[in-house]
Amino acid sequence: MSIAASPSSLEALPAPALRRAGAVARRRRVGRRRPPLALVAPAVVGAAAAVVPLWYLADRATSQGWSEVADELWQRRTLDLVVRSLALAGVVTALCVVIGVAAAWLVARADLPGRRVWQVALALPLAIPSYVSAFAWVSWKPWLAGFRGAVLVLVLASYPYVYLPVLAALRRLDPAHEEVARSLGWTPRKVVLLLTLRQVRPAIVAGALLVALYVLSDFGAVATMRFEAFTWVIYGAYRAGFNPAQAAILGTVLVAVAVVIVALEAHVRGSASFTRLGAGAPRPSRPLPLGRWRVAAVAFLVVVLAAAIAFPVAQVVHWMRRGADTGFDVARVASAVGATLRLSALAALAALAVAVPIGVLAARFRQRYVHVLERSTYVAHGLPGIVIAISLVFVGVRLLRPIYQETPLLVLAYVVLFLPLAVGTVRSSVEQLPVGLEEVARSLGHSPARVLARVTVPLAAPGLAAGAALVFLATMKELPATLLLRPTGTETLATELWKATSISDYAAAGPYALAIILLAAVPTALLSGLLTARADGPGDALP
Amino acid sequence: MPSPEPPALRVTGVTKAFGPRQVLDGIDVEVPRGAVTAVLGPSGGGKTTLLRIVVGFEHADAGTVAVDGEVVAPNVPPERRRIGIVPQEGALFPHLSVAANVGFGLPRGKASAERVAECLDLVGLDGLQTARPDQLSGGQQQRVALARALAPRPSLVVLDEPFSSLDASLRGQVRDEVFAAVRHARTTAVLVTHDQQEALSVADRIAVLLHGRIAQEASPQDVYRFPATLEVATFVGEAAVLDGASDGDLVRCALGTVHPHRPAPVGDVAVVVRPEQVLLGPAGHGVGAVVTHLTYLGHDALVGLRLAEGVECGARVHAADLPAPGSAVGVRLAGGVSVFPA
Repeated sequence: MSIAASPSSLEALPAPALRRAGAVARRRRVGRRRPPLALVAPAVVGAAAAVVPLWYLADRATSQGWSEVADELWQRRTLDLVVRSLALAGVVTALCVVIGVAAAWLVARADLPGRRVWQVALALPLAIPSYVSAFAWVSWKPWLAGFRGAVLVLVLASYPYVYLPVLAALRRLDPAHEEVARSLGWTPRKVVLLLTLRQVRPAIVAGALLVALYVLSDFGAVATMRFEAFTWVIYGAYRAGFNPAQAAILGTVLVAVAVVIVALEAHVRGSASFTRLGAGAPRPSRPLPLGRWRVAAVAFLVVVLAAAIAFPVAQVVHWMRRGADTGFDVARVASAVGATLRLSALAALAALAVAVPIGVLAARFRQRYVHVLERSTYVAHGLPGIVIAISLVFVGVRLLRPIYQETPLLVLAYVVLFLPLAVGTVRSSVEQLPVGLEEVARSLGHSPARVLARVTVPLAAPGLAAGAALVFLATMKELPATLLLRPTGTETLATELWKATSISDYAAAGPYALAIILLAAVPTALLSGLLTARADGPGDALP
Repeated sequence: MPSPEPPALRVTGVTKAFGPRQVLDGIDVEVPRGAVTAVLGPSGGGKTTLLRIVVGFEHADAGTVAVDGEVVAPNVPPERRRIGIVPQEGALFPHLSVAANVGFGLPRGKASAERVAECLDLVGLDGLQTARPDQLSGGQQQRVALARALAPRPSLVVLDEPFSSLDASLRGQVRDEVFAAVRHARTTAVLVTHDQQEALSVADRIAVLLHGRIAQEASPQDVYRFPATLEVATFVGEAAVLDGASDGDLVRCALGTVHPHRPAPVGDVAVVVRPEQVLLGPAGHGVGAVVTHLTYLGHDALVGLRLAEGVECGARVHAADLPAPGSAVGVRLAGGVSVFPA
């Protein structure tokens, strides 16, 4: 599943010492000084890698001539496809906003018992790939297949995209505003509805757009639920193989829809800064008493988590039991675990290597072309994995024949897909560093490259690690690009699971599903705990 | 006559505009070797911009900067200027120990460890080598920042409002410690500050930066006693400005006939009167005045006075013997005054 998290809303995780330093000097960009070539050159290569595949997609889409494009677009089927996909995105987004905002407010502001546990647990559905939970539901109640099932699974998989940024925004609010409102005679309910929610509205809108993007780009859930959304139809058209131009044309349409949402999201994020506070951490606010609503609130959260986590996990364990009777191939599972970890690590390292120069440039230099470079890595951001995968198939066939269906091309696909996650964390963690530190280092006789190595990178290290972890996680869960581009003979947990479930062999799917959930859960919990525990910096979203 | 040794720092004709705002408008300053020079100006008056141009973090639109007679701006990057900087809140590297911070500008080796200890000793913090910056108090952080700047033996150290973030109660003490270390190291130092008390008490020379220009460059005593312009007079220290009429040698104003320090312009003038020059006596002695208000300061007090025709001025008096507000007093002026064309 393509990960549609907002890249630059992801914040670094600086050590306490760093936070102190952050107060030392307000962030100031270096300004008009010329960026060093050592940063610009790799950044250009990285940005090009992100853009070239899309050019090939467009090229392929028009390969049969424009009349073919027009015919394909004017079909009733295509229109239906757009309407169905947008309807799914709309319904899922609305439900995610309700669940995500309510959960975030309860965790941040209400006297919920065990708030810390809820806080981390509510982000955990991110560790469960949508295709796993889709299989879990549809194997239990086959009549869920279709729109209903797709909505259910996607809401449970993607409400954290709203929950996390809203939680972070609530944490950053200055409690003094609410106290002033109370002192002016507002009731607690009025304060929540008319002041608090208004203040975090940019975070809500940004999260909602992320959900919409995620739903449009999700492949596993709609494929498993047999709901004819864009991604599944594109995959079908590609797999049918007779007409690659059709897959490319539909892919281009999906790209167009996604680009509109990406642009909206960027716009909202740009204007979202008013929730941010000035220097220092706000006082923690006193939790509001829920009174008799406390039981209802706990019940609500229990239901959400039961459906999003407990049920799929129980279902997977159930498959495991059944599989244990027939016995499963331990060596095969181990090899899939190994391949998954190896590919994820390669993707994380490669993405970080490209993201550091781009992120540092974006954080420290204001030239117009730097902005263009950074933005171009975001082009693929939010684009469905299936579309990126198909474009890279075209690129592989035309340009990179030697690495087609080899590990490097697959890693390239991961980098294109998930680079924005890494660029966002690098950029924001470098931006939080006071420029003064780098200036002092310069005045003590060090060249810009040495300052980067001795000051910037060590101080941004927690953020860089978080960025690498995000890419690692996202790669582990990725399905469509892996399916299309994996080296012959290589099977990852995701592809093994896909193969087993597409023939409804749930017993065989068990170990792979469990391995994915377990491998993804630990870093997800760590990251969400770290991102949301900080009150003094915006930690907005996870994949 | 050209001096045999070039000044530690010479700034010539530096200008800088941010958009339509002309921040620096032709700055010329010379910093003599081995002395502490304060650049004193109001907040937002371009002091920090000047400092950043000198150190090399910002490019001037025009003009040059020379260190030890060698032109460094615009073309020499900051790492080759040999100018140490102590930023506003120290800006210690949070990921490094105190020793690693101080040794940051030194090549690695045994000699460096000795130099680190030497510099820490100079600022009175030897023994804190292994501490982390976040374990230090604000004042200690400033002293480590100074040690770090001094360690590579720069030609010049610039301190950018180094005490503004400290508690008022600590500020004086840290300031004394820092400048004791600066003087002990015999380093040329430039202190950028908006705090006139700080500039007056610490510096050997003061350059007053007003409206993007150096309005006056002189010793603290001269800046206070013989301000170059009316604006310098009111910016540095407290002053009442009275209307006066001058015949060149004597000036008539609401406090009577007074002596200017220097021959005054003839005609209507502005007379600068410092509150400590205004002496109070019983009513009937000197010029009649009414006490309008008192500002009690502990060691002394400021007395607000209304003279004839509604002219106001202040007097600094010993706190032991305070007149009551509303009472009538007699006032006379001690010493010469600065006079400027009206």
